[in-house]
Amino acid sequence: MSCLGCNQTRLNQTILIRYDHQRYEGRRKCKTHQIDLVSPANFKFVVELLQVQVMAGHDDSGTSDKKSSQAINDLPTFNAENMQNNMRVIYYSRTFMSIVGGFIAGIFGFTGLMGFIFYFLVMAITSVGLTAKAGFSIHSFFDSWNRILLDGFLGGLMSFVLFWSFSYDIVHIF
Amino acid sequence: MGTGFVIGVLGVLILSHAAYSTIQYRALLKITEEEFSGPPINVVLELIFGLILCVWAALTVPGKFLSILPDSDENRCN
Repeated sequence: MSCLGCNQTRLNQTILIRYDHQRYEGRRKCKTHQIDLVSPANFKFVVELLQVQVMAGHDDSGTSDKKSSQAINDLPTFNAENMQNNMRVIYYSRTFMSIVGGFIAGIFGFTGLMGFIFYFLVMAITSVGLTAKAGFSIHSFFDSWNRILLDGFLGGLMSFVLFWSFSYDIVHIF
Repeated sequence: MGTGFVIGVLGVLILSHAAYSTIQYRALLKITEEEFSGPPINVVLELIFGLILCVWAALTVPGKFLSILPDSDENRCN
């Protein structure tokens, strides 16, 4: 936030502003040009800049203020885009395995409980395969075990039942 | 991506062949009027082999896992 007249980027540190505009002390206008630094139009910028200065410990230059405020707001945990990519990979793998498992269950002629047991078996094989693909170091690709073990379980179940009934009809009934 | 895809297609073809074999087996059973208790052993082996190929394809085709740690090498861009 600078005085429009002289482009001074340093805000005078004695200015303290309350949100209700009613009290302030210290220098209000740029020394050189007498331009009002805390007019209502500029108010928001001044308060933000002051907050940054307080957090950064009253640094002088404008650029280091920006860096420290960014460091404070930075996400400390993980790269979300790669996380989404990993979730997509798991979703595709599980869906394809559900479809293949359903097809095989129909060919075998499973009915009732045996079919669902077969589905759990196929999902267990898929989970083991995905864990092996991640090199058994889950925490560098996901944030919790539940994602690699349970995600896409119920959606896969619907695809499984669909293809199970489809292939059972084709092989055993028609 | 190429080889995984080919293996997946191969797995699906093997499963389709197993399905066709089972249909013919059932037609044979209808002629001899026996009950269907399960596909013949060679069809079972074929199904297991097709399942293994499809598992392989399901794990390799969708893509690699990318690291989510903020300080790993490939995530360093500044």
